[in-house]
Order: sequence, then C-alpha cells, then structure tokens
Amino acid sequence: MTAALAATGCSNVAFEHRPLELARQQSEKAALTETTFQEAESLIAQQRWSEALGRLAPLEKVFAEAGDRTKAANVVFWMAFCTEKQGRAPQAADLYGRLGREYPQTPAARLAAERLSRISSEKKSGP
Amino acid sequence: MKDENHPGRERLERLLRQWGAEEAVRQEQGAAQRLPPPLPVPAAAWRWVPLAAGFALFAVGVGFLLVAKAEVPKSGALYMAQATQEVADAKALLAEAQRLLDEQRTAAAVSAARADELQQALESGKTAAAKTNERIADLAARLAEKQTALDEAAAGLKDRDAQLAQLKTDLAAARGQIVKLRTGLDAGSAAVRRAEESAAAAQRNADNRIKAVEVQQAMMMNLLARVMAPGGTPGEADVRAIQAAARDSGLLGRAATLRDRISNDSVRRLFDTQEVLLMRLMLLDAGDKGELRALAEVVRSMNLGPQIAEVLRASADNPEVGAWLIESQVLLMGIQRAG
Repeated sequence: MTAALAATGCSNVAFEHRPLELARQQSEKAALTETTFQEAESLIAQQRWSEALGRLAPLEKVFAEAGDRTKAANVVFWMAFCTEKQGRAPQAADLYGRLGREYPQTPAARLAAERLSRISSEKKSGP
Repeated sequence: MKDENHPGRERLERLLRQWGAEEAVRQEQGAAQRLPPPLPVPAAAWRWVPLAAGFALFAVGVGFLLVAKAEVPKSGALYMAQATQEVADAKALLAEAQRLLDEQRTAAAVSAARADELQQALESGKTAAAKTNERIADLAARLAEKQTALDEAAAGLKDRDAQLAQLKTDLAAARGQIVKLRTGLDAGSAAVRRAEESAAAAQRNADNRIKAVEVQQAMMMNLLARVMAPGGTPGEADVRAIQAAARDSGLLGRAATLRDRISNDSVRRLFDTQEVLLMRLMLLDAGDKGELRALAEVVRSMNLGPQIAEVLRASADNPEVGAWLIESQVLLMGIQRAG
C-alpha cells in the first residue's frame, strides 16, 4: 500500500516539509484509486463495459507505479475482458498477450492465457 | 295291203300319232313349265278339239281329192265303190281321230290331274317355302340375337382383357411396393439397430456423466461443508480452497462452451454476471480482507440466488447450464459469508 501511495503521482518535493499532509494526501489518493477500481468491477458485474473501461484506463499505471503488480495485472485483465465483450477480439487478444509478457505468474495472467486460447480457437473455427 | 294301197293315209296317220304324242308331251311339259298359274285343264283340252276336227276333215278332203285324181280314168261303179271305200276309210280315220282325240282328252285330263297335283305340290311348296322363310326369319332373328350376344360377349371379353391387364399392372405395382416396403423395412430395421446402438451409447454416456456428476456433487458437498461450516467467516485458507474448487471444476472453461448454448437473453445476462463474479473470485487476493469484503458485498447486493432458481425452473431442458449456475452460486455463497 505504501508503494501505491508513493506512486500516486504527487510531487515529493512540494510536500517534503509537510510529511503528515503528504501521507494524508497519498492515503486519500490510494483510497480513491481503490474506490475507482471497485467501481469499475461493479460496472463490469453490471456488464457496463464502456463505463468500466473508462474507470480502468488510468489505474494500471497507478498500481504499477505503486509496485502492486497483482492489481495492475487485474486492471489489464479487466480491460481486456471489457474489450472482448465489446466484440473487439483482436485488441482483447493483444491485452491478454501483454498480461502474459508483463505480469507473468499472476492469477490474471493465468486467466488471460485461458481466454487467449479460447479467442484463438474461435478465430480458427470462425467463418 | 291297205297300207301299200294308201301311202298318203298311212302318212297322215303317222303324222297324227306323232302330233298327238308330241302334243301330249307338250301339254304335260307346258303344264309343268307354265306353272304358276296353270291354265284350267278343261279349257286347255277343249281348245284343241276344233283344231283337231278341222285338221281331220282337211286330211279326209285331201285324201279324197288324191284318190279322185288317180282314179279319174276308172269307171263310175268302180269309182263309186272306191269313193265309198274312201268315205269308210275317212270315217275310220275320223273315228281314229276321235279316238286319238279321246286319248288326248284323257291325256289332258291326266295332265290336268298332274297339274293339280303339281299345283297342290306348288301350294305345299309355297306353304313350305313360307314356313321355311318364317323359319329362316326366325333363325335370322335368333342368329341376330346370337350375334348380339356374341358381340356383347366379345365386348365383355375385351373388358375382362382390359381388367386383366389392369390387374396385372396393379399386381406389378403391388410387387414393386412390396419390394419397396421390404427395402424400407430393412432400412427401418437397420435404423432401429443403429438407434438401439446409439441409445446404448447414450446410456453409457449418461452413466458416465452421472458418475461424473456424482463425483462433482461429492466434491461440492465437501466444499459446502467447508464454506458453510458454522464458526464465523471463512479464513484465507477457506478462500483459497474455494478458489481451488472453482479451478478444479473448470467452471470458467466450461462457461465458454455453455454460453453458446444459451438462447435466452436474460439467462445469458445472468450467466455473464455470474462469470464476472467467478473471475473476481479467481483474481481475489485471499489475504486481502478488504478485497474479500468488497466481493462479498457485490455478491450480496446482486442477490442472484432467486434469479438462478427462476432460470432453473424455466430451463429444465438445459441442465448443464443450471448445474453451472448452481456450482458457481455455491462457491460465491462461501465468499458472501465473508462479509
């Protein structure tokens, strides 16, 4: 969580003389990121793919900069999933493939491999 | 002696006899030839009497003249005697002529009788002919009837021939139908055998699936015993066990196949929602209690249980989809208790 707070993008220089304020702002930002992610997951559960994608788009970088690779991988997976549900299988396949390359050994990478395999088989047996 | 002395008279007698015979024959023939109608016999006989008398007188006269011419030089007495002899001869001739005439009359009467007989014969012949004609007409009528009957019989025979031909055609068609039916029967028997084999294979397949379901049910019962065990919220190990169960049952992999079989939009929407929740379960960090609580809150708020029950009631014809929904819901209920 500390790493995530550090990766919220705030300048350490501006607040180095005010550590408590910085910590508070970083904590708020982390909470906001987490809330945004939960909102995105809720939207996904409601199958509102475009809105979910809008929430997810900036989150990968935040979680990655915070060092939370699992959450960052989850963000990418949901982005790929929403893209797939929108009917854009090639773009979804790219995202699933990126998960395997950039976030290996994560639960999201394992799920992505399964879905990528399914997309490939559908492409082969498709019209 | 008399014949040598009177050659003319002898000649005359011969002529008369010849005439009489010919006349008799002619009359008899004429009576037969002129029929019908024959002249009345008495009239025909009497018609020749004056002619015969005239002819006899003429012959006597001629004879007298010839004698007179030959005996002119003779004496009167002799001449008288001769004349008397001539007259006697003439009378004899006349008597002979009379006798011939009688014979002719007799012959004529015989001819008349013969004509009557012939007339009667003719009448009987006519009667017989009429009867014969009637008989012929009767026979002709019967012949016509026979001909009609024969024509009808021929027509009937023709009809029967046509019927026979039709029957032969029908028989050939029936034989073809029998062959076809036998072929169909053979094909049907083969189809029945195939169906029986298919049913046996389906039975084996169903048995295997039942066994698989029984294994899965046993696994799910174990899982239920763990996730529903009294003693508070599930711990990190329990969440990992639920995740392992979901992974082992291949729920997400099966979802891809089952989704294509769903035709109802609302069922497919419920299915997609459940799939998303399962993915969140699989992506869940078992040690992150906040994340666990968030997922539990989502599962609770969704309250998919009643919808799943409704789908199960409505889609009994797609049991695999129902089973998938139940399995996923059981797993998610274990997560729900974490909240």
